[in-house]
Amino acid sequence: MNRRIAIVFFVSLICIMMVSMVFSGTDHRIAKGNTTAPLQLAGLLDKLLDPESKESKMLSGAVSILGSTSEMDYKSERTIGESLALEGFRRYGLPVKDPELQEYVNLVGNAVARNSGRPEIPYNFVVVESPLQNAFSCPGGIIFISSGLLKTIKSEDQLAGVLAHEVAHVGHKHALKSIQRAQFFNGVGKITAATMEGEKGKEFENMIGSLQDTLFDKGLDQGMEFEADVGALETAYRTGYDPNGFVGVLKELKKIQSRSTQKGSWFSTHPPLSERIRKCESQLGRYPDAESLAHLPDRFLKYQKRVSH
Amino acid sequence: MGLRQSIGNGLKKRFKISIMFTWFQNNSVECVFILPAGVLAMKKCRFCVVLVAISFLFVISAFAGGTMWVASENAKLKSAPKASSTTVSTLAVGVKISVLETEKRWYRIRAASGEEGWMYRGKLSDTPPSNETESSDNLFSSMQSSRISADEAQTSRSIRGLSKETEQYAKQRGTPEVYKKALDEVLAIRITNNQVDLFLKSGRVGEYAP
Repeated sequence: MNRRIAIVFFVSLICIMMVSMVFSGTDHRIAKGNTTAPLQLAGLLDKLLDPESKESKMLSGAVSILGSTSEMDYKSERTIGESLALEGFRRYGLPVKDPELQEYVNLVGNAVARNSGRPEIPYNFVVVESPLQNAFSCPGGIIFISSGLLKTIKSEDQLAGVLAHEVAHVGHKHALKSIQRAQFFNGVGKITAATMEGEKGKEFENMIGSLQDTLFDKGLDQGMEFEADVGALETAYRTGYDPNGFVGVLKELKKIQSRSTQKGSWFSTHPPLSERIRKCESQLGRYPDAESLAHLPDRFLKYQKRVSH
Repeated sequence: MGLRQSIGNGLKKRFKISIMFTWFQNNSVECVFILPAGVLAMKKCRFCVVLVAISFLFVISAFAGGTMWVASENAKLKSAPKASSTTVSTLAVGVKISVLETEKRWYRIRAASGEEGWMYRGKLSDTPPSNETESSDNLFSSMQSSRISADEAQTSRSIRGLSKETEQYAKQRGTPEVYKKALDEVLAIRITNNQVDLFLKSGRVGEYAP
């Protein structure tokens, strides 16, 4: 009798899985084609089987991501982001002096940010004068893109994809997660004028130092990068841009990789391009009408021409 | 327990299921948990066939629903499935809605408040935005949503320039004035929803696409 109950239980579970796969493709479920559920399931299984993946480490308890950063208020997050942004100018260069170009990038960025996983916070985008192929985001929503990367991009949907990738990092609080074990957070719930003084002030500086190390040189965890790639496709699509645009940028970068400076660029801080392209392409099945969405190469080129290098 | 009796029990349960059908439509996620419970509750029934049939009923009702959530800032409810139609209202992020019908990239929806209208699909998500990270992180930790309250969002939007604390950091680090000025200028740029709308409209992007 017990055995029979167990069999029935498992049969039912299989039923759920099968039916959920079939129904996940119905039209009210946005941006998910018929292939989504099996793909996602397969993706998760893949990750669980890979001993190096974040998911399997979590299951095995090797990674604990409980931390004070999860409860951080927005203002404190923003202070960390602003401090890092100051270092960003020091490392990469000053903003390109062209208010119209800056406004254009802010319009594309804000358009995608409103359809991102974290739409309510303010976002600021800035193009900085630098030949390096780079873009990065500071906690709280300040997002940098280098003039070098802007020169490589070919259309507005590609720009939207890159900015959406950075917006996704902010939404997932990836940078904050990377520093949540920093000494500074011991006993600190909120960043105030008092926490910026004396010993704590030093610890704050050290924390900004390790953020620079991560974002400008070592790069975030690969799992975080792939998560931001998936977010970029989804957000660009929801806004009305072809998500293929983002994959297009990755392909452009791959072409020029061998003759580009690696240090401090997307090449050194991000996972190998071929792997990213492959993983992104495996997601594109979710967007059957992607190619009919906006590309806007002309509007983009009008602004790109204004950038000197 | 005889054959007739157990079939009778099964039928009674099926009747209950049909009553609960509407509830399940709006609570599809919960159904996944209820199903095993339902199976256990019917321990006494000896007939797998009946059980499997009932499981299917549960599962089908679970996925027939059209519940979604507003997931974008500036989510306008329109009187017709096109951006040029009148705006009925703007729904806040997190509002639960049900989809009544769809027409190409537009969904006719009803909010819990009773408001009805059309919304561009990109503003909606089939998962509540509080679970926005959607990664496995949320399953295993308290790294919860990064949504902030409406008040806090309003306050943070009005922030202009460097915060006091950042000024202090710059002072301690001896950050050159030129970088502080650069950041001040970057933070001074604020894009309104209206500007975004005009920009998307001129590029015929998203809801403004032909």
